[in-house]
Amino acid sequence: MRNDRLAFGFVNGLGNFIFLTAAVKVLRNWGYDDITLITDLNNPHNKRNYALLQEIYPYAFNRLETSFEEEKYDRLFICAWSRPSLAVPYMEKYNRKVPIVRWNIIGFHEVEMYLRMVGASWKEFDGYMFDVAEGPILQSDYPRIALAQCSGSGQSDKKAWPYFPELSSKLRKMGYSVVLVGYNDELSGCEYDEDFRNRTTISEAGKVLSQCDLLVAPSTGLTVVADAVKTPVLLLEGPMFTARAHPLQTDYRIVRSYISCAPCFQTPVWDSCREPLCMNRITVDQVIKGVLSFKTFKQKKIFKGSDFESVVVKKVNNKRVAYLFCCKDRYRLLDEMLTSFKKSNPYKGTMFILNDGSIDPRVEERILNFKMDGINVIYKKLEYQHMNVKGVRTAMLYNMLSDMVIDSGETFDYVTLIDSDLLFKPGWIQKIAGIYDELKVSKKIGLITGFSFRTKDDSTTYGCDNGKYRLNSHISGQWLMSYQFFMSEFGRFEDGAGSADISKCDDLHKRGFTQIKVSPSVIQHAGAYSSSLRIIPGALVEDFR
Amino acid sequence: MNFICPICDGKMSSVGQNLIFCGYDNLYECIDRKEADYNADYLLHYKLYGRTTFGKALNKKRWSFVLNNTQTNVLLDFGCGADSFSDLKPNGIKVFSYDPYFKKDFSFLHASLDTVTFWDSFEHITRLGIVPLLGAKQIVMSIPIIYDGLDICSWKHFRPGEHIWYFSQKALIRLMQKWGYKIINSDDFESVMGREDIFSYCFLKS
Repeated sequence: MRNDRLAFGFVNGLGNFIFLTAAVKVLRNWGYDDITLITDLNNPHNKRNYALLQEIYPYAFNRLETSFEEEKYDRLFICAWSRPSLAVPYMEKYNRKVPIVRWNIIGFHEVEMYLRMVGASWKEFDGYMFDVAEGPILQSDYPRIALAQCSGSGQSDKKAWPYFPELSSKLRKMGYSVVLVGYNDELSGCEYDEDFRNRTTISEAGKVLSQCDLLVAPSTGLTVVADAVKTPVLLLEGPMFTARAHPLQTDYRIVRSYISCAPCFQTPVWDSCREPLCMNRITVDQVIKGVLSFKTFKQKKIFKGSDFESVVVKKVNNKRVAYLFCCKDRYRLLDEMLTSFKKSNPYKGTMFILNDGSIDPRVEERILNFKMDGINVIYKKLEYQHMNVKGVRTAMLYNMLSDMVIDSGETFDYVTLIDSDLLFKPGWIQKIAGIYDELKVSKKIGLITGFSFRTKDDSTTYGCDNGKYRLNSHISGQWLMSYQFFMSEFGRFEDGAGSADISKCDDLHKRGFTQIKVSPSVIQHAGAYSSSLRIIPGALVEDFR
Repeated sequence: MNFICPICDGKMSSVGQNLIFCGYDNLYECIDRKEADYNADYLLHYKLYGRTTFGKALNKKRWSFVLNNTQTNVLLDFGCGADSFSDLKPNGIKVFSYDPYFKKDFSFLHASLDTVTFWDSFEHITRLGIVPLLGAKQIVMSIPIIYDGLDICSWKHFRPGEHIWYFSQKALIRLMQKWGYKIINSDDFESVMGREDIFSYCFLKS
């Protein structure tokens, strides 16, 4: 225990205050037990925040004072980095100088500056001092996404994002629960499942955020609260310096609109900016892609796997399907695949084709000449072929395909990933979709995979008994999922060694889903045909050719 | 023997001193391929340099430049040397380091890279063609930039065998354009800190 009397002079916003508590926590860890907060009530910035400050100062400080009396303290720290009006009376009274920090020049994180101020380093950082209330308890379904605008910040004309209403509507359509937090009429026009604007203290806002899976917000005080309660954050970055205020304890991603004048905080551009293009140019689709990139949703376990092979298949008509595949140089197999696809009478929809830098001109020619009633083709060719190590980059290519579906703006009933070396039996998609519909569990049942893939619940095996392609039971092919699942839960493929499909299954399993295993007997891998036969002679019970 | 400009695919012409030149793009290549002394002493020099106050401040500013201008979760530091950049990595970012001379760690091949950084290493790369194959969404680099009227052979950054390429800003931007990257920001913070003629650029895959 140390008896030194310490004091912090501080005027600023909520987020800055929470950052400051990191330094106070270090001092407490060192044994300092008497720490005072000094603030300036007449400061216009503080007038708005005073009630808030009254609530949160006991998290970290022993008392709150409103005047500087240097003699009362053994050490006095002044954090007046962007609000010099606090420091002016102090400087006048004691004839001292308080430097103003230029964040664009020093390049530090704000917490680091406070730590340095008290003589600590990053190694001593031990989180923030933040108390979470016991309520309110959220009632909406997982996954929950919290939306916040600028939490009443005076900088809202520069860093507010105008498309939250559209985002909230899309998120709800995708199956997320939307929770609103913040102040005043921010986020007006948003659709929501639960609304906590102007109804919570900061501790309660912390409780609300701690029950959400993700916070989507510009860089603001509530993003720091989310960091304190370890809820992942999708930061919509424009004029503020990410390096100064990014989350330190939780997973975060950034969405920005790549504009050369941003970030401009504390520069002349900030004052002269009349139209914050850096925020206005962030599109809703960009944000949705950012949301989908998180893999940490606290998803409840919804569905238990069982044997669905006896499910009676009903044919369902008039469905729209997104067919996704990428191809490289295997022209012959591609040709066979497209021919069998054409003959298989598939549902109408759109075929998204990604050419991974094929050097065989016949591949592109075959794709461009592919025409079929009711099937649109969206084709993209990559200039360079990616390094063809097994499994490497597969995930990246599949993610690109997913982006193509989102970018197209179309909606579908199902999304399916197929390989460029598959052979289809007539009616294959109707059969798989029929099984999917027959299950009728909910839109969140997950995906149907053609692999003989067992989760850790059922057994301990991944992959299938006879290698990847079980020809004797006709199980092969890729997956099929509902469009809602694709948009709301599917997320991104995790990179890793081996097949991206397996790692995706693994990823979904970690999030609580159990795969549905089916044997549709309608798809066969031609590419694995000969190699599998070499391993398991006689395994092929039927040739689809 | 013909030397082909990597930007315009035209023929480069000799200007003496083992230098060849593409006038269209204002790009120089040093064809003196003697092996540079990438040895333990070289690494130690940069390791100690990274530990100085200046080195740490410089790497902090580099991180700041990356964070403030990109969307980065997975980053590859290409030409990492003694890892002085990745040692200061902030929370929330996965960093791979690779150096063809000092750290042949190919684990980044399994990752989907958001950003590849070349801190003082882009001009060292003999085969530039590998850069687009990395498939990064963003490329961030600092590099010495030549300017009009410069006598390259007496320039402080002229190091035959070590620095292969001598880019003008125009040449660098055109090369990146050829690979499908557009420039989104540039900064002179390294020059301001005292590293003469070194500029930082941020490129985005378009």
